[in-house]
Amino acid sequence: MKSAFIFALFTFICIQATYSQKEANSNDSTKVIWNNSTAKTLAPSRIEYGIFSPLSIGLKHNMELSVLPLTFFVMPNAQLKKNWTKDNESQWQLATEHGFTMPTLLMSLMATEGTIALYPPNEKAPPVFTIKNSIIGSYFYLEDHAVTFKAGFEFNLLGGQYGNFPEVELLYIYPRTASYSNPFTLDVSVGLAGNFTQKMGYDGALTLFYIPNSTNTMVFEFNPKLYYTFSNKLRMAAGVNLTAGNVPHEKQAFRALPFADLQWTMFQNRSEKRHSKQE
Amino acid sequence: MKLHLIISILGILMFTSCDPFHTKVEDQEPQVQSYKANSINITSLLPTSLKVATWNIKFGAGRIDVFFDCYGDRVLITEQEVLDNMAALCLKIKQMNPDIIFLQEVDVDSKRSGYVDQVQYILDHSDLNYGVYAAQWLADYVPNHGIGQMNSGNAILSKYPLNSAQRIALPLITEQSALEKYFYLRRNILTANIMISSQTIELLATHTSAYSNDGTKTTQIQIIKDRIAGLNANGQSFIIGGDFNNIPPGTIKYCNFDDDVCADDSPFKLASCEVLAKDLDVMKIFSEYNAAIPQDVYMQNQDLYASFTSNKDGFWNRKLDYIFTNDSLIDGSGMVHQGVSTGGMETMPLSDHAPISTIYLLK
Repeated sequence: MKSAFIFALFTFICIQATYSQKEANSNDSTKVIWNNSTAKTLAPSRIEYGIFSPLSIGLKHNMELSVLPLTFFVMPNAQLKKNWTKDNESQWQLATEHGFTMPTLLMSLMATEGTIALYPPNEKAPPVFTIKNSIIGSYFYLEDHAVTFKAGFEFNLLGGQYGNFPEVELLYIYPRTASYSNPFTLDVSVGLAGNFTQKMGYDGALTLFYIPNSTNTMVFEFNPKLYYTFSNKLRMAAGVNLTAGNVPHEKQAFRALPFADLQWTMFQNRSEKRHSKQE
Repeated sequence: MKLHLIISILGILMFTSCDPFHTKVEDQEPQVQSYKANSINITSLLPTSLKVATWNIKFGAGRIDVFFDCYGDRVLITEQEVLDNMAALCLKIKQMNPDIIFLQEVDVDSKRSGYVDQVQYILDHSDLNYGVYAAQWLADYVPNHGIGQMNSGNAILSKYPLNSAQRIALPLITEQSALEKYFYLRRNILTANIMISSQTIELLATHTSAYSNDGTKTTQIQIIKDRIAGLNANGQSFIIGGDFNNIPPGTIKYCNFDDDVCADDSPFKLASCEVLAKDLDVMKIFSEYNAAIPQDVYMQNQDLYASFTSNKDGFWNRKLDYIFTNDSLIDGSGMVHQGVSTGGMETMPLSDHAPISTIYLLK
């Protein structure tokens, strides 16, 4: 019943997207300022932040720094994206992404009594320091649309110290934490992003995670999102995260997790300010 | 317009995800799982009596000190530890050789017990052939103490085929917060029919609330009483067995047990003497039926029929487990398997409950 509902919902979203695209073709498209999951980086000095999204800062030399501030002090993390394409207007763009995560303190805080305790209080969280490297290729078409291919490889530098600390065997969480206790995890994805109109945008990727555990876990994830842009300073995102796979011991082979976020910018560079005034 | 669309979609998605961790057993299908041993043992087709037992097996954790008995801090028992404990439990079950056994706290797919399917394990390592199981604690992930995935409940195992199995939900504890209640135990009565020599007997297994101060346990037991009263009125034979988490009326020592070492603010602390004194009379409602340990027999030597202690280094100090029927039991056949002297085998290392058995006379 739920699967049928979700299928119907996405059919509806697709129809809506097609309708909106026609609308977009009849309007003047605007420059994509907001960050989408493509190989492009944010303009220098532009800072974007969302309640559940990373804080992203545009740097010089086509680089972008991202951190998750919500969990930064209990899970230090950072990610640097570098666009290697010399011509910013080129249809093909290539970037690499390099990041680290140190979730030990967060895991220790979650190894407690009472609610929101994902780990048993009698277990000591092991030191974890993961490194993730990804390569991203995007092809831009119709000015505001892009198809993006991405491949990532994550491993725990301190994997040998994980021991028997429990894992969280839930479809959405497991692929993102499996690198702590397994030799590595791989993920490959293909995604679409763009704008239908000045106000409406979309983003979504189909991702395959591979975890080389005893059951060779493969998890597929599809996370279509719609954006409503209030201005160059504020936008809202809503979507769903559909996950399916053979996570060890997870009873549900499929999960749907709704997603909503509010994203805003803190600073703008001069050209963006000019652009805003003209609007 | 489009903003409204997004908000509506989000709202619908939230609504459809109202049981995201699948804890509401009542909404799941099927509510009862049927089991069969890998190899069926041949049994007598025309027995004149049935040996019936009940046992709370503490999810195969044996006497490992877990956090909720306040003796230890263990949450997750390893698969190997569970398999070792299950092997020992099965030795006792084989030694008792019941035709029917009611089990409580049986895990079938839980992180805390190494994901061992304990119903199937017992069927494959005993002379029992058929089983039915109903969950009383079900969740994809219990985010408390890192308990994780949980599927634990009541089971009825039998040498004879079981039919028409059903799970009857009992009321939830009302004094908990909504979040706590969502992830907490959902008590039930598991029923199944057994047909032997053209006699149909309804079997009922249950495990009522342990830590309720709001009268939930009393309500649950009243519902059980009403159910069996209805069967009795219709002339339907029944046998009920389980862990009622309630001490018999007339018990001399009913509170301040020396094995209750939980701190006063612990959610696992036993209720006050006032509450426990009131609870004593709750079991009186079964007085019109035949019990494995009749009340007058219990009153003669209460210590001999104690079936629970949370202290593995102590001794059984209170009776929480019962078997009743509206038919006949062989006089004096009721026994609490407390150890070598009463039961012929050590049971203290196997669970925090001792098994009880009796012999039911077929008509």
